Amino acid sequence: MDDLEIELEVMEGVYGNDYELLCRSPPCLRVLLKPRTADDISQQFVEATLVIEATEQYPAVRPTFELSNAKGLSEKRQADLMNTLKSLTSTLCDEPMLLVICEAAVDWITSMNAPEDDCCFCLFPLVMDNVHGDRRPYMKLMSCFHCFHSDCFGRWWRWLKINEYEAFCQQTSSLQDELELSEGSSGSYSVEISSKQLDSFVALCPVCRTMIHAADVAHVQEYLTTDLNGAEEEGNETVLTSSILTEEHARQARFAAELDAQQARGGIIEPRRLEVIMPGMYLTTTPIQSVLVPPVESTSSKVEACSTSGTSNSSSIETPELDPLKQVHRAPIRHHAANNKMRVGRSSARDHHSHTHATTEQDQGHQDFELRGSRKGKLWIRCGTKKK
Amino acid sequence: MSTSAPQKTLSKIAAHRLQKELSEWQVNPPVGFKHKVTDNLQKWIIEVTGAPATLYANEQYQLQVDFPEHYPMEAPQVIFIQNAPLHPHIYSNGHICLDILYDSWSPAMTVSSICISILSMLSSSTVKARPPDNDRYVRNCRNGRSPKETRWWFHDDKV
Repeated sequence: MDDLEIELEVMEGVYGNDYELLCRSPPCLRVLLKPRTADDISQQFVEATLVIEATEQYPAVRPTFELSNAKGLSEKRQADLMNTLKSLTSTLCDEPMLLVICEAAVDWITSMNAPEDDCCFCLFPLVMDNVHGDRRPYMKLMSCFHCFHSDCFGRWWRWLKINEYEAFCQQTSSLQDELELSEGSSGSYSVEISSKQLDSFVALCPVCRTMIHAADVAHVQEYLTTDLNGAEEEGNETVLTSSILTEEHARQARFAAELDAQQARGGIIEPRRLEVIMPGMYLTTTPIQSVLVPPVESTSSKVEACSTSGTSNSSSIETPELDPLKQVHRAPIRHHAANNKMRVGRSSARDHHSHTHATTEQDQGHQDFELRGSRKGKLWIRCGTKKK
Repeated sequence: MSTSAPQKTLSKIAAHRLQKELSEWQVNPPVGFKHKVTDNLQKWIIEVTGAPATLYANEQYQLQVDFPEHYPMEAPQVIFIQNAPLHPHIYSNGHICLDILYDSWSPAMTVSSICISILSMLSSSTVKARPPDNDRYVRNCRNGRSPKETRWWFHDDKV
């Protein structure tokens, strides 16, 4: 056995079915170059056949080689590969080099195993250059190697199916009408027709127009049947929000029911009220709805004073016949304000809400605080709603 | 002359795709075409200049491209507005008999590729004439029918 025969045998052992000997003498062989992806062929995005032709003088004379049937490889990339191989063989001399060439080619093609084009649906690159960009899954069609973002392709596929389905529904209904008119038969015949028609669903590769077979897309089945990226699609967004809203309403209702049950059983601790009834705390004006609040350590501004009185006066919330004019409330404030009257804007009006909540909106924002006489050196504040 | 069927607004996917196409067009417009800037992403008006050394050299025409809700899965509607060029595949109402605009549409095509196809169709014409069935067809389309509703028969692959 001479060196060449041993080399060819090794080649056959290494490449198996991907290797084909076209001619023994002078040696001419063909190797299908595939990226090393642990035999997961759905992850092989490039592929090419390397044809190596040697002369009788091999290995003294270097063989020539060329690429054919390149898939997923641009002209530029193919030229790159050929240049790589040429510069490699120029360093080899008078030694068996078939395996070396082929292994270098496989190494190269493994390093290039990614689609370099844009997704034809969204026109964005399939492989983002920047590391920070979120990587969108992409896929290839198994036979033509055209690649797309998996979600883009899936969306298109589902859209085609829906269109097909609608078309065949129309057809079936008209067929059914015809059948019923002519024979008065049951729908069994038309069902047969429809299943046959659905099976004939044909899609062509958007790029090369070759027919897409089931085996071409079996590896991305989950994208073809379900919308994995629902929020992206129009319409689904509103569905999403409304479903969240219903969920939220249900949750609120549940909590409200729980609170009711707890209150009914006396199992809930109500917020403590800082109420102290003192003689003379009621003003002479009727009806009496005021509560006197003991002095609270407060160096607060008018707004804070207002909110203090508001929160501590929770008892007045329930009073139904509140007369904003007559409702007078006293809250202490350690505030030697220069002004007799302080006007409080809208922000405080909201804080003030609890004891003027029976008033109309128009009154909001026009609440006046009137400083009255002091008692035991403390200022008291009169808080009400002024009528316009 | 322009047909304007009630249009659904672009889906989010379609709007994204069109923004991408527009930005690519701005960087690299097809030779002989000029996009008239408007704020309407869904309707493009494109000026076409006939290629030199053809029957339509230096003649100016306007294309109107209307995009459907589900572009690019659905083909856009492409018609000539105002004066449609005299061409055996272009009707006087601006409708264009070109397979890629209808049956042979593929989502991989872009406005740019459509424009190139139309210009090549113009350039390869050897006679300035209307299609033989022009009058009948235009009469049938009188109430603003879209060419996408026409059942086209693509018989001529030479022009």
